[in-house]
Amino acid sequence: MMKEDISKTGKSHLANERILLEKLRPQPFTLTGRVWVLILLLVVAIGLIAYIRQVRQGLVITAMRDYAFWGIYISNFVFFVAISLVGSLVTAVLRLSHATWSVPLSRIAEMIAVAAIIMASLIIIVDMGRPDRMVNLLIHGRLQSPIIWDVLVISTYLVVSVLLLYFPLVPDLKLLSQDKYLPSVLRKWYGKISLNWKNSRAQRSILHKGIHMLSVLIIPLALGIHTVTAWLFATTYRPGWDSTNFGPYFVSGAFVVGAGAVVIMMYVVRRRYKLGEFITEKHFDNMGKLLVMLLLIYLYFNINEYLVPAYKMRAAEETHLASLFTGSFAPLFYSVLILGMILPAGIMMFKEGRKPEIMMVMGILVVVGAWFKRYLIVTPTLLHPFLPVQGVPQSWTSYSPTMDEWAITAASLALFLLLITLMVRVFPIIPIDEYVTIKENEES
Amino acid sequence: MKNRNLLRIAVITCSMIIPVIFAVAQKPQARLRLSFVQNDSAAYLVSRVTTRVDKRYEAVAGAHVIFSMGGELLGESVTEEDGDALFVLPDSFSDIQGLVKFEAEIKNDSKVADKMTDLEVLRSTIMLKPQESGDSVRQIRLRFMAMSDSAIVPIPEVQVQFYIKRMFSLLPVGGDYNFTDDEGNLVLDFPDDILADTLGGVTLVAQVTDHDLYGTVSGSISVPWGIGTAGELNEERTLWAARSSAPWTLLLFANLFLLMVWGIIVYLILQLVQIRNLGKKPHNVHN
Repeated sequence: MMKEDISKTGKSHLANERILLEKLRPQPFTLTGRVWVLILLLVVAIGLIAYIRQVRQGLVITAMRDYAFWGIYISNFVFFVAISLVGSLVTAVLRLSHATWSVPLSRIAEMIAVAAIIMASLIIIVDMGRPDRMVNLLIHGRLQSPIIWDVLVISTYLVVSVLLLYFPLVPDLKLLSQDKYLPSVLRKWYGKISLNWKNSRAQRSILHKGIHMLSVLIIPLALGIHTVTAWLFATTYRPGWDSTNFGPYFVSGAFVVGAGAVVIMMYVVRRRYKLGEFITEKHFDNMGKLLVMLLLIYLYFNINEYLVPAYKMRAAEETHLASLFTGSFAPLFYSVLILGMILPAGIMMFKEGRKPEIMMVMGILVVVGAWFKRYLIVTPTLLHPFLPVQGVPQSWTSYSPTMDEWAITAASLALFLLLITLMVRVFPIIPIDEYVTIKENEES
Repeated sequence: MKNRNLLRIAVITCSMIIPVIFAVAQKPQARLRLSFVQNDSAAYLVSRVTTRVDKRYEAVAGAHVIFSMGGELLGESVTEEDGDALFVLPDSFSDIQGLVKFEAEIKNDSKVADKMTDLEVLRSTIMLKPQESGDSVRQIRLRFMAMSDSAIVPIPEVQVQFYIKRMFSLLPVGGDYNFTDDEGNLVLDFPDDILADTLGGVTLVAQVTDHDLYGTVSGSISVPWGIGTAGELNEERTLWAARSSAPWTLLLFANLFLLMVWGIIVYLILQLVQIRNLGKKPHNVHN
């Protein structure tokens, strides 16, 4: 119906946008929405209390010791960095390849990317026993250290992701500022950040050029952030990390979890805000095909990462691999492999498996599997170093996160969801201006 | 006939099952060793619990060992994966003179059968002193003394090993056969080829190992007699050097990359300002 409105009326661009706005105007929270926000705030508050305890008492309240000096905080960090790649996948890669079907999904991807990279930046500070020393990284940091590369590339990626969210938003913000159905406070803010948008040819030209430049810029940056994160591990001489494949392995895994997150959010906003005519079954079908391809590539890298060391079975690698294949990590390892990769790829290969409801379940399996996959990358390796740490209590040779660690990690995930919820509350989920432009171009 | 066969089967089955049940019910015999260790910071007892399995001894983890001194209960400790239970002696131990009798006991433990062992120790000490002669010969003078009932006495004919503390283990120096003289003294010529930190600081450890009467006793001393090479390495521009000695190529490419990306970001932000400025002009869709 809406598409017909746009194509048949032949009205001006602005008129078409106003027609769309009726359906895509940000909605105030319903009771369910408020309860959802309240639950998230509660989880964040519990995590904050745990974090205050950690700052006061130090990292001794965590289970991290000389062996497992990185725990679920770093797993969580890698997870958030991975999810943030989705901004470049859906917005940049698909935009540059002229895959116009992905336009309704671009804002979703950009919101996820911004929320994820903010959380990645925060969680890395949480992992520091003395967050007040963060500034020392910049003052005394060595450019030779991959940790400094990570600091530089994450801060750059954060700025570019925010710009990539903001540039296409400008025309929509102007539209919202003129919408009399929205609260005056919100309209005032929309007006302030809409940069005096008048839809002039000159403004539009600058905007499109900017979006195009950002789309090109974010691809090497996204590859950079994931490669550098992979190098944090690969440049450390340890079983399971001592690999030249780690960069592409991380990039392919990031594409998978990012696409999985988009699928979940597509389903939730489609259902919650009744966006069935914008996010259609065709979108789920296309995302399903994309996800299958990404999962198969990721499986290929997984085979590489485990089969080659397993074939050689060097003494130190043997202990590490044995803990994954037959040891204490085996149940989690096989669950992640089968439930988080093989099963979703198998199901989504079939058309029926790419229906919205099934895709939603597959998305959850992929994202949850991806979180635990990061845990499997970080922890088992640390417990089996090439050179055993000497003179430590036996309890330090295993790692089981404490309640404080779980509380802080849960809070970070809740804050991630809260950021997305708030963005959905104030910005249109479907990019109105871009959508109208695409439809007008199709018509002409 | 049939009944007799049944009886035979029952007897054979019982003869197979009963020993198995008996073996399962009976806890394995433990082998309990007790040793005494003393270093600069603490004195402690180590009790190793093993059992004999397939003609070799295997460590028992999780066994509870009770420690006592001269019949007085000290406390309890649990064995780790290597079968060792460690018990740090209280500070009051340093006031004791003469022979001390320690006991280790396993009692009512779920893993192994009851067992007890004891050990008599005479508290001793290693004193180390650096000495440097005019012709740049560097030596460490050691004195090994024991706390007998009435006085502190020097102990002759005790074998001592010397080591240099390294990151993961101890580096033996000075040969294997060093014995104290009648006055309990021993002199070590300090080697002149020991790599050290930037200030040349090294830690020398002297140890009497597993002696029947004194146990394992060690003492250490830090001296600035090593070769401080790290400072020289840091002056090279390498990946492992200090911040100020980063390789030129890394500095060049990393900064070029940063300049390029942040240049584009600044340009894009200026473009946003340009959009805002254009919006201030009177609206014309054609400009």
